[in-house]
Amino acid sequence: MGIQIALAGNPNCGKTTLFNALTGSSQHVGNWPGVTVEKKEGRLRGHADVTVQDLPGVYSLSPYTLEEVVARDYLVGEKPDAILNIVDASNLERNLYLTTQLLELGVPVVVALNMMDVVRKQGGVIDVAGLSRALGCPVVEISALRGEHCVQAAEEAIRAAQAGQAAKPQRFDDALEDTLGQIEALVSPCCPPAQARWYAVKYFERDSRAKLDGLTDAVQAKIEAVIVSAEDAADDDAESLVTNARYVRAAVLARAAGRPAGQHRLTVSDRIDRIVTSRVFGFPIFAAIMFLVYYISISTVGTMMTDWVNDVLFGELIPPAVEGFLVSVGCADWLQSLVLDGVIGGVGAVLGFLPQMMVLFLLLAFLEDCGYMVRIAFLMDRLFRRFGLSGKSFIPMLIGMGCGVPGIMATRTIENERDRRMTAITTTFIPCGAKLPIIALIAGALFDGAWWVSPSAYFVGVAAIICTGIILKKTALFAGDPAPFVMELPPYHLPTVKSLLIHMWERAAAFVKKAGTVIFLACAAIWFLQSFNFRLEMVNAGESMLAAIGGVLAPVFAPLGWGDWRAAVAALTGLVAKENVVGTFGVLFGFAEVAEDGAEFWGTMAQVFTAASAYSYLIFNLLCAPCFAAIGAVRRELGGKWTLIAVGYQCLFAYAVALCIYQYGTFAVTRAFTPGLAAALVVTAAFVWLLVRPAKRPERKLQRAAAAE
Amino acid sequence: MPLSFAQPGQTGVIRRITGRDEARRHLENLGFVAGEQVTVISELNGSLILQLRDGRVALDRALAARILVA
Amino acid sequence: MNLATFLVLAALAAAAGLAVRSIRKKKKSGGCSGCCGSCRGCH
Repeated sequence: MGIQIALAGNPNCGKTTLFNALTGSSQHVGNWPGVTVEKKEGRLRGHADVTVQDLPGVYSLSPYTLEEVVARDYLVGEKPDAILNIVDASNLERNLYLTTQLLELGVPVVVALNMMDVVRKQGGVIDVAGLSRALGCPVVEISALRGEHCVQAAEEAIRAAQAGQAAKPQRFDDALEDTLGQIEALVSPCCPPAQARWYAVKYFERDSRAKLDGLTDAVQAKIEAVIVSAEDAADDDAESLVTNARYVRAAVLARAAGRPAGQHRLTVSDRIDRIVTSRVFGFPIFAAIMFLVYYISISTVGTMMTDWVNDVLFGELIPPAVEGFLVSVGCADWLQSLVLDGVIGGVGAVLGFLPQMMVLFLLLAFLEDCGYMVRIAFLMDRLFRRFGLSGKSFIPMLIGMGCGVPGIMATRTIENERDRRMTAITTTFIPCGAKLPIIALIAGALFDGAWWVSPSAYFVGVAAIICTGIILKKTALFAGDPAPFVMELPPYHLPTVKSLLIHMWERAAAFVKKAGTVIFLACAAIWFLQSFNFRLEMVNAGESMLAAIGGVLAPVFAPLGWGDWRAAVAALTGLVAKENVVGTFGVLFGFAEVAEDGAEFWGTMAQVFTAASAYSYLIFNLLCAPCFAAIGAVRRELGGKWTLIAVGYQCLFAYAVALCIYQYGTFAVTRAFTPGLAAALVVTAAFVWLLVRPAKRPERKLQRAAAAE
Repeated sequence: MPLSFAQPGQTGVIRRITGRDEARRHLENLGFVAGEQVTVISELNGSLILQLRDGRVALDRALAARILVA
Repeated sequence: MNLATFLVLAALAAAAGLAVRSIRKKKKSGGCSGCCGSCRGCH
């Protein structure tokens, strides 16, 4: 007979950190049945019979959002033995608003006061004993980030669970209490006594999801009469009455904790926000930061280490050593080729970019942990709104900078179906971690490490999103007003070195693991296909199965400047994992040679691409369909039909952009007017028309008025 | 006055939020209730970053226009 | 094929088998391709 402790609290209050601290690696992550909200539960460390259930972060237990419904259904239906309510001490009143609701559930409650360090740094003090008295339940100070007192909080919750004493609801003003008392009398015959208060409040609010069996129509009518008379007396609707009463109560509780309301200091965080979100500096700062992130990781710090890994590790050390070994034991030539040219050539090419990946992810982790990322969403909202989108759509894209799969899953939180579709289609335009080796390879091998190549990959992605947004919003399918944007902004804080290193390490480990599995298998397969022809005889690459397959595909890409079968095949392997583009290049181009010098394959590549075709290749791979894992995620979110549309659009868009890049780039050099250039001009004209044509809505006047502001 | 017209540094007391939809309920759950003070931290063409009690909330211009303050 | 070739091939095959198993396991636990740097737990 185990004990179930539920973790409840606002979003951003440190709940997840606490959950991780309490359960360590014994977590089990899944989905709440029937819905797409994540369900996390785990065993409390050191207690075999205590389970910790992490509930979604919610501001309230109303029946409106999916997270709230999931949380409340669990709390009311499955009744945990105790609730551990994490409260962000630096945001007391809003957090206590939820607490007043948790106290009505008839379950023992323990409050864990988190982020006390932030409060202390702001010079504030919390009277924990006073708060505990006012709440009528135990309050434990914790710092989830530092792991302080987390275990104590859990043990307090266990004690509360064992004592089995339900928490006492807060008292509101007399008039409201009187009304609630009347309703409680009417509903209590039909519900467990501990939950009578909860149901009384829910019925008063006309909560659509709180239904008790056994309430006759006559009783319901009486309840309605009570509600209406209270609303008339207060000249306000029932829900607002309760919301107001809760906040009044929260203010009282905050005062009991020694935090007088109405403190309006401008914090350092606010001062930073003044600048970072200002009309003048906001976007330039954002552009500069993203530029630096990509520039630093790919073109400076990262390059030095990557050069070493490619030239030394995979150039002078490993291949000769392995070759020496294989020759000395008398291994067959073909197998030597598989190991050296196939596996080591391919996987080595990808692993060579590990240093750059790590630096990039370190920088991105810093930006996210310090709180700047949400400010970017705010900036983007301002920009997106002009085109009918909301900044809410940008959050998945921020996540997509790491990996597109969770980014696409994050589109679930967008309620507006059209916006959700559009976001799912465009999220993968932002370069994900797996595309990084492609960017770095082309920047390094074909542009000699030019400073502008890697940041441009990011900005082209953003531009692609914006253009797609504009174009799609003008079609009947996607037209509509932008969704409202409401976002809580946590204060800036300096991330701990430990958390940054953990992020970086996790990322690096995942990358190496992927290299050792997916990429390893793909490179072996590619090696096989390009070493044998259809009769399974060993041949030169140019006569192999792969060349035959690639030869069919390649002409399609000739107008883009890279009609070479090797480039086409590499792009195709990107569907399995984007890193494979690099891995395949490593196998196909390295093979040609004297490959003792890792950089040799970069040299071979350089012969096949011009600057224009190289950049065209880069952009095509960045914008075209994502890897199968991401496509699968899109399918789970949008369904089969829209997935096809999404992938089709992405490939078409990528093709069009790459075509123009190559044709204009080549024209700039050769000044020759070719059919290809003509095609590019037509495509550009069509693109521009799609962007500027009037929207399909009659409210053109409103749009012009809005644009004029 | 709708909040979207407030300038950085200005403080107002919330009178009411127009409309009866989900967005309004969400705002109320976040603490935008009548009688509460709200201060503008930053403004970007009508979109606002607000100080509400101890927290900071970002809103788009349309939503800010629905919050009437004095 | 001589012994060395056979052994090297066997080693490669074993590695490939492990790789496939690892991919299968990952697929079951939820579509995460493991390339998250910003893993807030996929939500």
